[in-house]
Amino acid sequence: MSCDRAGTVIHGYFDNELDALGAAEFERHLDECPECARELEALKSLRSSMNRAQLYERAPATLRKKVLADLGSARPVAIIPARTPWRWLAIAAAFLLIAYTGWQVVSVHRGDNHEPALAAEMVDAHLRSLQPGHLTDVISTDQHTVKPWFDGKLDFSPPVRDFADQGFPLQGGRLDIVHGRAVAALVYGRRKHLVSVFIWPTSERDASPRAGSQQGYHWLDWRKGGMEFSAVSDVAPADLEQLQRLFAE
Amino acid sequence: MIVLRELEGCSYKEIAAITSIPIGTVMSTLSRARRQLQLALADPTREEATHEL
Repeated sequence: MSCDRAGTVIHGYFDNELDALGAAEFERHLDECPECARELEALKSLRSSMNRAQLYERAPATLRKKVLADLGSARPVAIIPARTPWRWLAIAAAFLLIAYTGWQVVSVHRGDNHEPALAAEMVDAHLRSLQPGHLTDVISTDQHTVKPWFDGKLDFSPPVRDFADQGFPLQGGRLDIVHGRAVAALVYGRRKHLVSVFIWPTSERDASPRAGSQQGYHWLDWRKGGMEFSAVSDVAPADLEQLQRLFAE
Repeated sequence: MIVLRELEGCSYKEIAAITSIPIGTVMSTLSRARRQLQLALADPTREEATHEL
């Protein structure tokens, strides 16, 4: 055999494994190489003689059954012990993941160190409320109008009080969504500024106020009597503390 | 190799996966196996090197 293609490429061509370009190129070669043409005929005749011989024999069904039965009995012994350490490791890893995720969620909701994300969300809510027409859902300086308005809109009853005499006149109230839950938002005036006080129930014990700043706004967060309060405004932090003391009285 | 290609109708890629040899080696191995089969069929007294079939 002098043509090196007769030994290799011809098989790729014969088995339809060449790409279109390679096949076309080999067909051109076939036209001028009698050796490859002969070899291709030999391969075709080899294949047809194999087909005629009906060499393919299916394993008897009983053998198949026997093999499957052997596999069935071998599996519990051979496979599971080998995998067990990995399985325990996987279970341990899953528990760790769940615990970590749970801890993250709880720490956010608990607000023990007042997650920056939560503070940002409330500052955003306060800013949103400053947009025209968004400040209050119920406009009233009367706490006896504002408080009933929340009935049926929330699954809790927020403490609504007017502090007009102390320099924080109640302007109204609205519903807001903070961290995926509906909260009450009370709006107070402070001179020419506005203060949003977000209120939602908590199962945590009372906590003294913690303050922070975000985007030039101040917030003050505290818990009292099963409620969490978060006041957000651009007034001075001292004003927020004064408002907190009024709520605490 | 012959069994996978001619009887089972596997592609070169499948043969490479089943036998754990590089796909580039499939064609040359198949070429050698077919040659031996041709020779064995042409001269039934030759029995050597049939392991590649």
